[in-house]
Amino acid sequence: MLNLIASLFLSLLLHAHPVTYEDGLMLKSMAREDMSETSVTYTFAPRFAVGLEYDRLEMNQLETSWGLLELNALVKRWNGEHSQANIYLLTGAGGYWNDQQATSFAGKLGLQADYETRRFYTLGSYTTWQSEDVESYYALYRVGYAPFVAGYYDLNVWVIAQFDYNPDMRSEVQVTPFLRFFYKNVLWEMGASLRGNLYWQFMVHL
Amino acid sequence: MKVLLIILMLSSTALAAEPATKAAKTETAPLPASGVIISVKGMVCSFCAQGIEKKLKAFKEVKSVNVDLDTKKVDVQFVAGQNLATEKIQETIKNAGYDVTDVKILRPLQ
Repeated sequence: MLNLIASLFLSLLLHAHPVTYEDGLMLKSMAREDMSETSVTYTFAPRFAVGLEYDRLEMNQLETSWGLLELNALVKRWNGEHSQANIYLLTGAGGYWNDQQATSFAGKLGLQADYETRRFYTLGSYTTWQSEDVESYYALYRVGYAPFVAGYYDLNVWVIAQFDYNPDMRSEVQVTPFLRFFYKNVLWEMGASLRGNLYWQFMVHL
Repeated sequence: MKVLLIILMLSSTALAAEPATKAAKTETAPLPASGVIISVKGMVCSFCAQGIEKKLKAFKEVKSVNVDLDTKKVDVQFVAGQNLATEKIQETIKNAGYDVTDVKILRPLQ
C-alpha cells in the first residue's frame, strides 16, 4: 500500500475523462495486441465516478487479467475562455489472475492530467498496478492536433500521437500515431504503432 | 341633441384612453422569458457540450438546446408558457463542470 501511495505522489501524470457529468454513463473499450480494456463508468456526483473495469495486459510473457471496481475523482478543473485542463485521481480494487492460474487481490492507483483547446490536446498519466505477484506501472503521454475546427453538430477529427511505456510489457516506449473521431456523444480512435501493433478504442457517453 | 353630443364625446374619450392603459401595463410588466442564451467557459469539445445539452434537456420546461462551440454559447428555448429559473440553469451547468460567464434572457417580441 505504501508503494501505491508513494507512486501516486511521485507520479505526475491515463485516457479520456474518467469523470464526466453527474448522472453520466460512459462505456469504453480499447484493444491492441498486448493489452485491452473494457469499462463502464457512472458519474454519481459532479466530481466522482464509479465503474467496473476489465483489463488484459501481457506482462513478462504472462497473460494477466485485472477485474477492478473503480473510483475516480476529478481533483481539479480549470475552465478557460478557450481551454480546459483537468487533474484526475484514478483508483481501483479487485482481483488479478493470469494464465498460470495465479489469483490474488489487486489494486490500481493513478493520476491523469489533460489540457485541451479546440485545436490542441495533450494528456499524461501514470498508473501503478499491484497484485501479489505483479508490481508494475504504466506511463502514457498523448499529444494531438485538430486539422480543422468542427462544430458541435459536425464530425470532429484529431491526429494524435501516443507514447506509452510499461517495463513489464516491452523494453521500449511504444509510439502509436492514430486518428480520433468524435461526433456528439460517440468517440472512436484507430491507429497502429510504429511496429505495426494495431490499436482501436471506442467510447460512448450515455 | 346636446345630450347625445356629450355622450358621444365621453364615449370616444373612454375608447381612446383604453389602449394607452394597456400600453402602460406592458411596459411595466415584461413578458415571461422565452429562453436564455448562456455563455459557458471551458466548453471546448463535443463531449463537454453533450453533457450540458443532456442535463438541460432533462427539464420539462426546456423545449430545445442549441450549442455553439465557436461562441461558447448555449441557446435554451423554453416550452411556451413555461419558464426555468436562470439560477437553476447556472447550477446545472456548474454541476456539469463548467463556468457560466453571462446569461441573456430572451423575451418574445411584443
